[in-house]
Amino acid sequence: MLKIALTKGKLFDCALDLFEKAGIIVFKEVKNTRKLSFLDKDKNIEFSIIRAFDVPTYVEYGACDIGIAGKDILLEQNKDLYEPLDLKFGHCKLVVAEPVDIARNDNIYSWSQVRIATKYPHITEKYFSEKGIQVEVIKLYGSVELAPLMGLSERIVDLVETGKTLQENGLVVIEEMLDVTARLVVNRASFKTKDKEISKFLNIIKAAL
Amino acid sequence: MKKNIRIPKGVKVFLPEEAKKKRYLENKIRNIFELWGYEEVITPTFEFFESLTIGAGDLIKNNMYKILDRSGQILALRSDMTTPVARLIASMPKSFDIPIRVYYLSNIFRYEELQTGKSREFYQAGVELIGYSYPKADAEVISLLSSLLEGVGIKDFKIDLGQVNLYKSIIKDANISEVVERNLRSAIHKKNLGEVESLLLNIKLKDKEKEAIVKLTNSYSKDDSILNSKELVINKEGEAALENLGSVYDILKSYGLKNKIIIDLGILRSIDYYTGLVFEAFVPNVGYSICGGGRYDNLIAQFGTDLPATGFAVGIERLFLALSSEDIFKEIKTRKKYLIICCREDSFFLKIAYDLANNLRKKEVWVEIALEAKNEEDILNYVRKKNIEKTIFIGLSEEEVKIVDYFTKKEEILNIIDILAEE
Repeated sequence: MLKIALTKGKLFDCALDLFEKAGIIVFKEVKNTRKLSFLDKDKNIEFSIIRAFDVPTYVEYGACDIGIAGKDILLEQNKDLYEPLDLKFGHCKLVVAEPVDIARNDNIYSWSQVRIATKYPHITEKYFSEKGIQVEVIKLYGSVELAPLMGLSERIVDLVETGKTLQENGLVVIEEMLDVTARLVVNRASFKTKDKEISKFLNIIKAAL
Repeated sequence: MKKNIRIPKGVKVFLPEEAKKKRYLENKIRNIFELWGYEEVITPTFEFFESLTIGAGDLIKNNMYKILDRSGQILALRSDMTTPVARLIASMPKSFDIPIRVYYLSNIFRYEELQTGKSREFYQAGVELIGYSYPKADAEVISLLSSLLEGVGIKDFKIDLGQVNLYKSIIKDANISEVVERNLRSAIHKKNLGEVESLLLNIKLKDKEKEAIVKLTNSYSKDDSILNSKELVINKEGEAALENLGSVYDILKSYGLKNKIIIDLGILRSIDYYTGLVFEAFVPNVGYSICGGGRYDNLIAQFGTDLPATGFAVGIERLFLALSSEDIFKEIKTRKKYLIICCREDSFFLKIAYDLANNLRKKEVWVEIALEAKNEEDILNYVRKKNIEKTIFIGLSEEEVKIVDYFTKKEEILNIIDILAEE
């Protein structure tokens, strides 16, 4: 049996569409229930609904064989997983943003000891240290746009899709760090020990992309 | 509040039941290694930092526990066993005959990030086969690994074979920065073809070499068909690498391991260190590899004695995970255990108790002497909990002892002189 980790939220609908196209119907009730795990007996697949930030962990430990996760989360956690498919949905950008008035004359290379609030402390630290820029990173768990408004930090690093939330909070993008899409990840041991099932699954998904 | 009862993060204790299982497993492994002609070596827990880090990358160096000794020298706790063994062999090559077959069962220390399923002290069992670079040597340690896994009761496992020289041969002449090379290697390791392709766009390699990299990323199969792919070979080194992998595969087939092997050319295990064939072992329901190994022909030379070598290490804790649903621990023999209770604090009777206990111990019976006489109910609870076959009461009368089996409720009265005389 294959165990697949899905995540509710933006990626969920796209994942369901993709599976449907690939001939794997993920039962309609999934969307409107609090149940977190579903078994497809015909296909011998068990789907679990897992928080986006937890998907790589479930897959790394082998609790799930396969997972769908954003590239942002994969980079942030840097787990040892196979990442064979770019699913090409869930397009976003990881960006550095700051209040409009600061942005007028700002340039990241002029920074010294700047504070950045983010849900992605590892990516942020790595990104700036590779550029030789010293920053102080504050880890937040949500609503990062609030940090500059409240004076917690002047800059933020966050995931943006349309940029609307930034705009509404008076922030503008000053640096695009990374293009993000959803990826299919596979546990390394499952890849070898369930090789038949997994390669079959990968092939039908690839064909549906 | 209780004081000083905590232990540092990342280390653990083994309670009697777990310790018993661990020793049992290790003895099984020891026995298998010895059946294959390997001999044990024991190396120091700490050595000079400098010698433990020969041939090591930054990651390994950073993960080491370092100690400053009183003379100001930097020492380190061993973070693997291959390097200490390599140093040992190089320091006294005349003490060994080639081929050198050694094994170890040892604890290892690494300053790992926590909450990643890794400990800071863990246990490994492994072998090194030193002195030959023939494919036969690689095949021998892989067959030994397979024999080990089967021997401890794991039937369903897969061994992944790779050859790092193929990748090395392709990027040999590419003029790429260390960072880009590392990214490329990581993308191949993750089987992330899209990423590989996009990295290749900005790397100065000939089209043929790029095709070879793409092919390599995608090359894994249960048979040796991919070894005939001409696109993979762009020079003599590449050809030799594939040929080597093919030879090892063929020998493993004669060992009867065809169904256990997966060839995966995308395995790029620590390529600064490995110089040829590499492998990993996987079992269902354990998300990590439980064993890693490969050929390292340059390591011992860095200690001054040029000897090719190959070997592997199995993680004992990971083997435990793989075995959690297996029955092998049921084989652990429960020995006869007796309890002697001396009912009188009297040197005459105490001597009888001690003599009787020692007589029984000579016959390999496990004997406990009660440190105080307890009431019947306490005895019953204790006997049940400790699975004690016979309880012997001394001092109930001057001449006799009572022997009780609380499980069958049988009682015997024997003469003291008879029981002491019994051989």
